[in-house]
Amino acid sequence: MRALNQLAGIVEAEFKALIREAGVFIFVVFFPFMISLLTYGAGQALTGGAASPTQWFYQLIGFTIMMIALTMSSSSAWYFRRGMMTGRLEYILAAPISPLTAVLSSALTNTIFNIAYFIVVAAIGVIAVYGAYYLANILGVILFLALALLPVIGFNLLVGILTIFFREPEPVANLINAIVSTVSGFAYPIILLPSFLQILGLILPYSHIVDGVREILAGSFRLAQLSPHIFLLGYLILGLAVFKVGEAVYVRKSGVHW
Amino acid sequence: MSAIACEGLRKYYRVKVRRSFFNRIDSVIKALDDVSLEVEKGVVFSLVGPNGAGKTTMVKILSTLLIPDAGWARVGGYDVVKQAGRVRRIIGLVLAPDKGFYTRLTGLENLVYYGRLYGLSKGEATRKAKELLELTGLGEDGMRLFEEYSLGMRAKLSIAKALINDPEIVFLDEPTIGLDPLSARRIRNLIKDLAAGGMTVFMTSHNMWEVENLSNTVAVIKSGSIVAKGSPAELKEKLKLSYRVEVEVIAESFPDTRLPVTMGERGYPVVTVTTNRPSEDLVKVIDEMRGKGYSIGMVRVQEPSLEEVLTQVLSS
Repeated sequence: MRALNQLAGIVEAEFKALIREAGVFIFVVFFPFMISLLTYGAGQALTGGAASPTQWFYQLIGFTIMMIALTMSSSSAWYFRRGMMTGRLEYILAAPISPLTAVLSSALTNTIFNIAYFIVVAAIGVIAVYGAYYLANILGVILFLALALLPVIGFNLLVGILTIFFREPEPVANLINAIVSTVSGFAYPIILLPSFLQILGLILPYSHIVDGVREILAGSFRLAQLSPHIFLLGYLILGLAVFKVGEAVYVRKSGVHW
Repeated sequence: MSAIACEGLRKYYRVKVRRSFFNRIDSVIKALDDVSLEVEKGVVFSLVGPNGAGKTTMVKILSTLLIPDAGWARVGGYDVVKQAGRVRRIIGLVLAPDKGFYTRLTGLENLVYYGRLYGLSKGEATRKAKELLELTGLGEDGMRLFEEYSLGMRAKLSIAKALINDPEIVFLDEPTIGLDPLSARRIRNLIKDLAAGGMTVFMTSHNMWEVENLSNTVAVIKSGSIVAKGSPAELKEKLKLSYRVEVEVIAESFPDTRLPVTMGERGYPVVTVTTNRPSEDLVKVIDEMRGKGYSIGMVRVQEPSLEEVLTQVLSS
């Protein structure tokens, strides 16, 4: 019960703080439209006007999921540094709460925020390309993302533990984001990549997420396509395990009481 | 049983010292070196000393944030390393009065957040937070965003935060730093009230007047070691610091005496004596002046301040 109260308390506080940063929300909503319209315009120019609205929608969804990937990695990478800078981390550590609960609560907040963000962008895109009738598919995406983002939370626990050891969140976040953006099929099918990058793309959770979301919105998703996501839950288990080991090592090395 | 006890506490920091761009050497800073102390329940205990003496490290070890390299410490009877979870439930902590809060949340929302970190339900946390906002004098300001708070309001919110779990012991690391006199006074009154209510307060401060007025016991820390400890009166007694006796003489010119005389603020000569026996010497000076036919104006006996104690201890 206590852990639930702690989790609910952190999620509520962080969510309120996030939605009051209106500028962040406006930017993340604006970004996929801006980039996808840019690539759509470039496509039109290169193909002599043969680019279709569904291709724009493909890019829009890709860039929206990319934005989710980037914000979730960066939030995890910055979690400890931001906590130290604001003084919140020390107070969390001095309270009877497991750091893992605190980190997971924060990740959960980000997941909820990102699903809310996705609904806004996808709703606009769906209405523009397929019509309001297809809006119901967004409900399917919400359920899908609730499952598919769990491995992302695990993946980002690995990112978080990396930043504890490397201290500087910026390079860690930038490197992870660059790799993820390149190999995850946000803007182009990963089949266009060299084979080793394709393998990397398939190992990471994002290409499966973006493909799934596109197919659900287009109404062509089959339940069998969920199977990779069950395997990808291994990231959550791995993330939790590495986080526990990482914190033990950190305590031993630094003398900070976790 | 004492509220806080520790023995042989040691904490060294290993740091890199850069001698040039390519040359850096390992160095060790002794933040705490064999510190032992005991704090009784329900008292205000102050740890004072220069910057870098080890005060914050001490607070961080006792509040379970840092693990000591050697020695042991118990807070509320629990070991700060082996029973950290239990210690965390019974302590409140202020590390920096203006940090630790979500800037885009109100004071009330921040307090509710901290209440829930201690496992309170939303209803309990809100009720407790409102109570504390009243206690700290923030009241309606609790509905304003933290980013709009003045430093004084932030300090009050920090104290409220430290009390959200009804702690038995609170650790306050420089709770009035950077505050204007009025805000600092309010915080001091609050600390007095907490101690009067039976709470143990462990604080650090650079404001010796504040320490002297609030504390039952003071420990002076220098380079990681406790170099003096006692009540403010005991410390003055131990160091045999002198009192300053001033007797104003109502006369047009300086009186005929071998004692030191200066011109006072009111335009009359003032005989000043520095002594360890203030009562006896005051009577002697008055008798001498009266014997010579002078009238006595104002009389003042100035106690040595804790600042003088600290200066003497640290420079010895």
